[in-house]
Amino acid sequence: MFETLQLMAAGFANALLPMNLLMMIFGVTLGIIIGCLPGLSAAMGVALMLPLTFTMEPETGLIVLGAIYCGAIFGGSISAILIHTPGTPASAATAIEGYQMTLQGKAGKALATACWSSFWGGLLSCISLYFFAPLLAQLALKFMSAEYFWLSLFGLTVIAGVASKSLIKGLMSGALGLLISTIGLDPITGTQRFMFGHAFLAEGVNVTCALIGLFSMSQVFILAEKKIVERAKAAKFTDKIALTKEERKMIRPTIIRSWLIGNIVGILPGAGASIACFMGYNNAKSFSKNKEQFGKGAIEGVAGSEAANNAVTGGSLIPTLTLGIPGESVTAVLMGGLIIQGLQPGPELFTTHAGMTYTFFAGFVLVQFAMLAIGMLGCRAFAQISRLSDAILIPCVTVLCVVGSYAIHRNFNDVIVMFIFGLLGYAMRKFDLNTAAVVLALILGPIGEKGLRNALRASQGDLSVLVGSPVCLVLIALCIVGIFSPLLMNMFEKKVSGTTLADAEAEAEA
Amino acid sequence: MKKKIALLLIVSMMFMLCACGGGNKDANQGGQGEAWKPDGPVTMIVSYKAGNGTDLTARILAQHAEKYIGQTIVIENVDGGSGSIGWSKLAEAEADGMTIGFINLPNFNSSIVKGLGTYTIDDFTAICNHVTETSIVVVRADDSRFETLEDLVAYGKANDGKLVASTNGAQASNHIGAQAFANSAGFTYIDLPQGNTADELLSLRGGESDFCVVKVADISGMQSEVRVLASFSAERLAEYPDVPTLGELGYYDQWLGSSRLVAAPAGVSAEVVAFYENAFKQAMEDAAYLEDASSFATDYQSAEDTAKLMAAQQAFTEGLSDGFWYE
Amino acid sequence: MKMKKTDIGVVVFMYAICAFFYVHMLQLQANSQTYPRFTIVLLFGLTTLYLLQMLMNAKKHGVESGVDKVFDGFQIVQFFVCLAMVIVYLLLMKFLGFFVATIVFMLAALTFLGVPKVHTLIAVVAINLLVYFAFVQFLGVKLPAGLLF
Repeated sequence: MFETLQLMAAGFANALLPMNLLMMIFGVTLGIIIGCLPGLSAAMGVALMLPLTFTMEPETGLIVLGAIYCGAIFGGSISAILIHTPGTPASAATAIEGYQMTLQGKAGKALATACWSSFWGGLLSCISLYFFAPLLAQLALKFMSAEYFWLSLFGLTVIAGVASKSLIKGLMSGALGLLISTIGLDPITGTQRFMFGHAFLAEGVNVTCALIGLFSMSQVFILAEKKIVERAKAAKFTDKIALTKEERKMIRPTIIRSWLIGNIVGILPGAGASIACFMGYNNAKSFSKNKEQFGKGAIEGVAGSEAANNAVTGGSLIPTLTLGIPGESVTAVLMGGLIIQGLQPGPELFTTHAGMTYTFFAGFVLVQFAMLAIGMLGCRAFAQISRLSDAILIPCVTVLCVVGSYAIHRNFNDVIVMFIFGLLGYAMRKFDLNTAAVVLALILGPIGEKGLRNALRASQGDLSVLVGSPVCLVLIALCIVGIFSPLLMNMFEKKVSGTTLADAEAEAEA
Repeated sequence: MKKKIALLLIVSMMFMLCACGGGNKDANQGGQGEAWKPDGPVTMIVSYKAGNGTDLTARILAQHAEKYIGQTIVIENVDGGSGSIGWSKLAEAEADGMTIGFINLPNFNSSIVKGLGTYTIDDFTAICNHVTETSIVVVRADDSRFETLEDLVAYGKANDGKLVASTNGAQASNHIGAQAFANSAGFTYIDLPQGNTADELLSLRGGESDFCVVKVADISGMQSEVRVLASFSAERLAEYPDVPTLGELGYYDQWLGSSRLVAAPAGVSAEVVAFYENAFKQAMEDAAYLEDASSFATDYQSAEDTAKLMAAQQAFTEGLSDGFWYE
Repeated sequence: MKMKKTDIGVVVFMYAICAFFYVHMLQLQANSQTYPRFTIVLLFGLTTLYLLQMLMNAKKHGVESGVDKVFDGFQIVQFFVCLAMVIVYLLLMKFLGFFVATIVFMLAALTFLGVPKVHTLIAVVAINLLVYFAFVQFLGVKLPAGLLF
């Protein structure tokens, strides 16, 4: 035990070397820029920097990559808040409340909330990384096909939370997303489904591409149909950025819950941050005392989403380092880097290479502080973008959508797909359907399909495999709570206020 | 005024990026002299995402080959369509020697069989082989039912259609391996396609599947957790001298695995092929390269041998369709 | 809540999607049909449920057009000109390459939307430089090339 503490202290001493500090600042800044540009994901940023790190000391290289990872996950929230364009899928849920805050002239505050929550989410996730890594890693081995099916179903129950206007329309949107997620090669038989001879659809509709269309391109159309207004005149722009004591107190429980969610989702191999942000958002909403604020710029919504997606970072490193199972695409790239450096993931990282590992962990902790500092410094400046007139935003966001969707595969087909989803997203938003539900279903659909079909294959069609493990039962319980909690809440509130459900809905729409 | 500040902000953001931007110029036309040489940066197409296994090994080769090629090598990741988008791009590239690319067998062959690409094997000219990995049959180390391959086969025959094997995808390399093994041993099993090798091994380690076929390098970090029962090679592997080959046990007796090779679009001149063949050979024998490449199995093969390998794998993959896959 | 006539459009659209995918699903081999069929049935069922809810609302509360609500303050000319410009922009990219098309598109759109000349110029220069340095220089993304660039 004492020895471990010594290693940890030595790790901090190493991480504080000027070279490492310099690389942290560089990595975080680069990560934030990569994150806030649509189409450039954290995984892409890490992959691009990977070859450069081969020439560095292993720990310095890892710190740079960790810094880019954290920076990019936070950076995605900047464009999500300012122009309703999630820079990475991990910030899709941040756009819901964050953009509403921007419309009210509170962009600075939204950005500061995102930064503050990202910092705490990331920092808290280090605790589990430091002290419980080998223990928590075992969780990843408990998740087999059936568990993934239930996990994705649980993720889909979040739709009930994001569908603020009409539950059934939210579910319809989700079902549409599931249907779209079947485009591509059948994961089990390998045959082409709904591809119509287009090889670029083999891996399905690209989620980032669909996201840019559904969120950003549709936003362009929404702006284009309205009379152009000077944003600064529409809402009073407030320069106040720092969170008040009350606000910090208000989001504290949200951050802690989101940390737990993000951490666990991060440990499980799968979609990682992009699911965690929705779960964090949904959780913030269901526990909030100010539910009526949601959909109208709730600060807790931003905090819930951002704390959860940054908590994924530490979580997903756990199975990567201890088991060699990357929790998401970023850590898959990171693991490739480790192996090239001659470091095999596994117990040896905590014995033979403990010096390097603990320096990396310490660096990861310090990266969070670097992110907080750089983020907070940048907030005020970035918030100015929210004062731009819609007339300037329309063409600028269009160009970013086009470049972003093109950059994913350097393929013009993706731009066309993005444009189609832009039109679809616009129509959906006009008719109160839910674009976030489509994105959620696109992410979770393939995981759930593979899980369900493989589980039933392994059991030769015996359905009992789906309830065969304790983890399954826990997940089923969570699904039931997830499905019925909004209904129960509704019924409860109805009884209290004495109004009918229909009236409540009418009120909500007015 | 404020609006101008905002705009200025965007401009300053760009300069930040500008500061960390690296240069890369467009490739020039390659001229043809008596000893051909590229006269500009060489584009190397990798059909998978940056950070993927193929990408990483390609980058290490490219880094050390630049010395012998005399030009920078720009790696272009063209991923999507299970690799077919990148291979289509390589097939359609100008055959002037300025564009080369990596081809992954047998995924490349599968993409042709599945009809994903518009190309055939004749649209490429092989330059040399880079990495070869041999397939192996593995089970969990603590699975006392299967101490040897014979145990596994006996169990599979006694419980036909009950054994579960995870694979890295439907009809992907490890599925082909499992199928070749089971066919030759005379039992059937349930395959669970997981989409990638990490998840395939997770399924095995978590106890969902009973055995699986992977490549040697895939298990380097988990030696204590899995037991290697047999290899798909002509001779025993240097890393596992005690592990028998499938052939010596009387089952599938051909080499099976994956290989990553360098190829150019069809129609490049013999000089171009000879130039790259020689340059990559030197790079793969470079001491500095070998140090960086210690984590994977470099296997240089000449252009002629590589072309044969491509053709053999294509014939093998095409032959699979009749009777090889069970219902 | 009154039934909105505009929602009939939503129902028709969803049924059309179901029909489209169902027809193509039938061409798949048998064991690949099950899961897509499940998602189609799910969407079909939910849409039908929504249709029933609409009809109940119509009976209880009456019918309203909904068009004025959905298209409140809709700038017809501005919207369709913008949409057309985006489409032309994507088509132009094939011929002019990314940068020329972008400059043409941005100049046209910003002028049409009444942005002062100075701001237009700053925006065009800023976005193009951002894309050039971030994507082309730093990431090495080769943007669509045309006849000119």
